[in-house]
Amino acid sequence: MQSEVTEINKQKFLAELGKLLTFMYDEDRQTALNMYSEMFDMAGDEQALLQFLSSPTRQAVIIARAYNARERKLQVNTESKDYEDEGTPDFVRAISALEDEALEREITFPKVPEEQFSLFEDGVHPVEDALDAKAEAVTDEAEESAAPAEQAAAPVDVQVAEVVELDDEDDAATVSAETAETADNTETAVVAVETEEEKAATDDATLADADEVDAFLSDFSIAGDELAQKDEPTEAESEPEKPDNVKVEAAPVNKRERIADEPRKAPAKQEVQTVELTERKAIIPLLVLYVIIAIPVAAVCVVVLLIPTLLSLLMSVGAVVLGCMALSSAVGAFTMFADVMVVLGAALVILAIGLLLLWIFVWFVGGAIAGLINGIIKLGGKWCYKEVPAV
Amino acid sequence: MKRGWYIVLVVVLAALLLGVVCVGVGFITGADTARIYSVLDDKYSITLYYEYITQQLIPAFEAAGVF
Repeated sequence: MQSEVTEINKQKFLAELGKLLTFMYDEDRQTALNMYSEMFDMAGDEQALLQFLSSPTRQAVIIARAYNARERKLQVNTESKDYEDEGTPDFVRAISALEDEALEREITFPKVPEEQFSLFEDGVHPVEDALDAKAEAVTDEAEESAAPAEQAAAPVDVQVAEVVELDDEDDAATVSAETAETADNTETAVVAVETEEEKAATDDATLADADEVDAFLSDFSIAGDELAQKDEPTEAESEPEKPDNVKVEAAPVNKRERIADEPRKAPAKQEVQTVELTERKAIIPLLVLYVIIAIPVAAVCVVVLLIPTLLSLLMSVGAVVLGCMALSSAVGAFTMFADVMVVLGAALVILAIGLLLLWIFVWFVGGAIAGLINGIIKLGGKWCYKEVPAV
Repeated sequence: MKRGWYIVLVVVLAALLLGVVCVGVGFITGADTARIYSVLDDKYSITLYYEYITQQLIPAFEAAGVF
């Protein structure tokens, strides 16, 4: 009975510790759990070891303190490390120190190779001395009820089956525990009470430790829901989680943007002020007077400019027509090469003059007349408007 | 507009140069102005238009007081 109880506590301890060590890489967590499992295997009295270890939370804190920041898993999805191990990790040393302390206190005993068990053929095992007195007390009863114990041991789960594999004495203890459980309800009740008391004690210790270590555990930023995600790896690990450093990065970026925006806003404000300061206001009487004078003057100027414009147009058209006629005559009307060349040369000269006159016409229309009108408007704006301070 | 002037002047100068060269080559190679005029007169009736302008149109404008 005692072995089963301690085995269950060991399993619970390791399971809870495994949940608390999710900040570690998988291989490191497995290493730590294996070391604790070996420690339990070496323990003469597992209850004493559990009392020595206090609680999974305390052990998680010890490991966390020893776990390197570089080794720490920043993302829950990360399964394995991406760097080479450099010597013995600190957390392994911390657990080894615990093992040594447990050895010094004689809570655990060094593991003896199985070959050396032949030296104790009489059944006396070094670990026996450290076994619980209760297990020895129920051994005699176990011998009497060996047959029903085998039947009862069959449906027991794998944990009990592992205990059966230990040695004959342990087998007897386990079988006796099973027998006692099935046969004597009173003893079962006693053991249940003991189990509840131990559980309550463990819970009290855990609660006491929890306050102490809550702040420390918060450093790992692994919330309870993330631990729950570890229990359901199919959904949790498939979803990409946002790394914490994204939030850390977000604030400086926003700050930087804010700093970058501030200088941009400042010149804009200055420009607005400048525009407001240079408001143009029309001088109405002068503007009316300018319009009255400028329109006839501009009309006269345009008419004056139109005469050479139209004249250049007529001359360009005449030159182009004459040049085309000469060109066509040079190609078809003359038989002598010399006459063709003279007429061709004359046609090119006439066409060149016609092109020049045509360009003069375009310049008169697009340059002279349009420039005259624009100049008159700009002059009016310059004379008839003044810049006044903005209201 | 300045670029337009530049392009037009380049084209005009090139055409003028080419035309002068062609006229020079024609006269060098034995061109005759009387023969060229006779050919053009046959094709476009230049003498007829010239006599009409000088003998009828201008006296009419002079009689009307334009000139």
